Amino acid sequence: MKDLKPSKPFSNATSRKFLGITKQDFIKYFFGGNATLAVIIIIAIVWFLIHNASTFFPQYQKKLNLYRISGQEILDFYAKENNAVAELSGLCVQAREYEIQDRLGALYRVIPIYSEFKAKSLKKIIGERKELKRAKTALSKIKIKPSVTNTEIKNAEDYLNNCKNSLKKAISAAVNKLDFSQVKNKSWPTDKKYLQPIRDAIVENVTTGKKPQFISDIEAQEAKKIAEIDALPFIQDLIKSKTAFNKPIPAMNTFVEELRIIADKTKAQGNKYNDVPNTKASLEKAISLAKTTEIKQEKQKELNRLYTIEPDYNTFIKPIYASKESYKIHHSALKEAIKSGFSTLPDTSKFQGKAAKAFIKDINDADPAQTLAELNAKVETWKHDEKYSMGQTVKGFFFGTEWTTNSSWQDFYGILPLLTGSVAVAIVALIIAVPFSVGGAIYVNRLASKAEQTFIKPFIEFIQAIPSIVLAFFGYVVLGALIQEYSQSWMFSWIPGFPVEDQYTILNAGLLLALMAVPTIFTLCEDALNNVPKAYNEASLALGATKLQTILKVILPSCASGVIAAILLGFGRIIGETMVVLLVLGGKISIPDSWTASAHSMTGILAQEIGEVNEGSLHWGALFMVALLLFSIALGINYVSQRILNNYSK
Amino acid sequence: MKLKTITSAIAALTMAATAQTKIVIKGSDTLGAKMVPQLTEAYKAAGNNIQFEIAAEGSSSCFTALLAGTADFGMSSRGIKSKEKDKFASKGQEAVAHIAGVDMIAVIVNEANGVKALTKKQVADIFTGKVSDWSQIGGKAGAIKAYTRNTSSGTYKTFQKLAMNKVDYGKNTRKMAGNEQIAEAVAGDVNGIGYVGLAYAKRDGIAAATVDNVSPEPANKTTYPLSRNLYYYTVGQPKGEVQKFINWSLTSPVAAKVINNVGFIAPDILKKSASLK
Repeated sequence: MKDLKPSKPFSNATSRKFLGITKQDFIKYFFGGNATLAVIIIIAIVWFLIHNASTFFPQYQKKLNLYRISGQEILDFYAKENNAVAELSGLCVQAREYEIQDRLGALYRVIPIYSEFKAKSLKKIIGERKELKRAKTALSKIKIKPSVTNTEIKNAEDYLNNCKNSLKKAISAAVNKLDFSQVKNKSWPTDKKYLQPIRDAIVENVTTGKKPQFISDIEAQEAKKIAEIDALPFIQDLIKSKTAFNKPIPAMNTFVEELRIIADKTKAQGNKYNDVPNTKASLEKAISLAKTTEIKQEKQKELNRLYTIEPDYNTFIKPIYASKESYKIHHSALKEAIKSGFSTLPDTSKFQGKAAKAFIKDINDADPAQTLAELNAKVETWKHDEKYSMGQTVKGFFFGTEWTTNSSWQDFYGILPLLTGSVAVAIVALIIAVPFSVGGAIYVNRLASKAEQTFIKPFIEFIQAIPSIVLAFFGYVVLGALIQEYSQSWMFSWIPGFPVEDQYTILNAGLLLALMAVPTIFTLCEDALNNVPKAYNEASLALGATKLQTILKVILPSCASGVIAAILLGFGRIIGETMVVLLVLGGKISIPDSWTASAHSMTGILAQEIGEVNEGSLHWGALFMVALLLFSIALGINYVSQRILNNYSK
Repeated sequence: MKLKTITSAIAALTMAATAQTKIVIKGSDTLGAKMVPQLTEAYKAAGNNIQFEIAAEGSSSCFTALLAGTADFGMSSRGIKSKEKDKFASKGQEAVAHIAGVDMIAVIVNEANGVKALTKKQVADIFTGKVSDWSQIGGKAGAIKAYTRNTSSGTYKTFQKLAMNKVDYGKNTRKMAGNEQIAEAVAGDVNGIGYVGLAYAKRDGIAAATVDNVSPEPANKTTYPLSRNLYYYTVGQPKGEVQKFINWSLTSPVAAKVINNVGFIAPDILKKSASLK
């Protein structure tokens, strides 16, 4: 009956003690210590983030104040007014060109396709081209030789002719393989009748080096058609509008440019003055560290040269206040331009092309008068010495739409473009990942046979083992181009945001991140399904419900909290991912307007910019603010999912 | 006796091991992707037993690395900023600049793009986002996709100063990690435009546009509006192997040939070093 004696793993009251600690105590302290260490590290990380980010807002406020007091701010208002009207002129130009594109059809793209095909086929005959070049130089070398026989020349010439022939053969073979399905931009209209002439023109150009007749003909045809279109009354009106919109722009441009130089100088002085304490400290330290008296004296001189009086902003700003008079003239010129431009603007219905119609609609939808009035109000009430409040600064960070760093004019740190980019990618990824992973979990847990289970589960969990950089690389090199190419097919044209114009987009990154989130969601979902008491399943089946009914009506509702928590944790996994968004998202720092646009993300900007900033600078603080925000989001998601699990799983 | 031979053998071995000194170079992608690696190869081929380690992540990393002491010398495609100078001063150091060569920033477009001549103003308008469609500057209809370097790049800042009158980049510009990536993106996109160091403008599929009717060629170095100096930076005057290498790369005809071959312009008048004040 020895076996019944309970075994005690560490029970050994009489064991040896070391420094008064038994083995059991030691193990206890070891694990306890580990847990404490983890807590301390987390607290240290949080403190480190907050400590580094804390300098951001006061510094940012100072910078914004300088932006205002130097007059840069009001000049940006001027420039924005100007741009609002210049944009209309640009839209007019686009409307005309797109209308031409639509009316010309395949003709419009003959020359671009010719150039594209030519580049493509030249790449295929590199060997022949090199050989020809060699033959040519050989011949010219022989010709200038003092003693040269006719046979030598003839041989060289024959060889040159041979090369020419083989080049011609090669290029003919290369062009014959070309057809319109190879054009990179699938939205370009094509016409069969141009294919053979394009091929011939390439051969002609490559063999003779001259501009082919066909291309000149096409140019002439195009010019003729464009002249016809330009003669149409509504296009005439459009051109009138464009000229009207554009009229005051150049004058106002030069006006702003001249003032910018003044503001820039003031700002440089202000920056220098604000940096004086730092520069002073560093120079003093340099003096104390200096090895020779020469260096010491030099540094001392530099130290004495530092500004000690604040720049006289009130004097510097005078020319900018004075500019308000001329601004009024420019402002009314802009208003006038808007009026006369809109008066001749042709109606949308006159245009044939969809794109052209859209541009005219854009012009009509724009409310430049309103924009101008708003900016004008800002200009009128603007005061250079009114300070930015802390509230405005904080708001500027959390709701700012501009993230501009390392600028020669003014840095802005508005997180909205990055935040929306990150969230947009995460949402796209979740929409793709959730059906697959939740569905997969249900199938594997409830419906699959044993053999299927042992096959599928490790497979999905294996995805987690793929390093994110490998996936990112795949997206960068393969997936982007694939999406771009196939999205141009007419089959997908009904999807909003299609055709995809970029290789590096939210969609591309979202697809890859979905793949990375699937194992997380799948595994957690499966756990949740496993936790459903067996009795529920059996009771439901015993009452005559089918398997599907049981799953949808009994099993899923009873583990809904687990599924939601799984999805949330998947979201957390996605939003913290860096490599994929850094490579595949396109690096465009603006609020995305479509799910197929390029964007930037919070994690991406951290990875990209942290290496370049000086410790303690404003930019440094801004990046730590981003990191802090990211940390808070992750913490929030974890907290919420824990709460859901605890509250509803009872 | 035996002991003596063993110790001398060990001493000889350690001598051989330490004879190969390592020089760590960090900074600009413009210099560090092609020019400096090829210079180091040529330097080694000239019989110098030195190991080089090069990391090219943008000019700003040149100064952060020098400050941290993780590089023996730095490469930069822009001059040092006053704030960076302060950082050096506060450590009792000074960053010394050596002009490594002259570069032209080429504005590149896709080969199949009809627009191959731009004015400086048009370039500015494109990158500041004022112009968004090729039709606005005399090309075929198509939305412009402007590719720029990322913000740690010296080229990013220099271009803003030289071409854009310090106005900020437009919101729709796409930030790329290096010259090669920009060239690659423009080559794959008819509507793409970007800027790269001259050395990268000769790739298949892209063409360098003329700016104000001047094409970016070494012969036009005085008239091309977008040219700038390239620098090596050292902490204090260079010493030992670093000094040897820098001197060689600034003065030797072999180095000049390498620099010109890569597509930059070798420093003409060989200033030994010009401390930027």
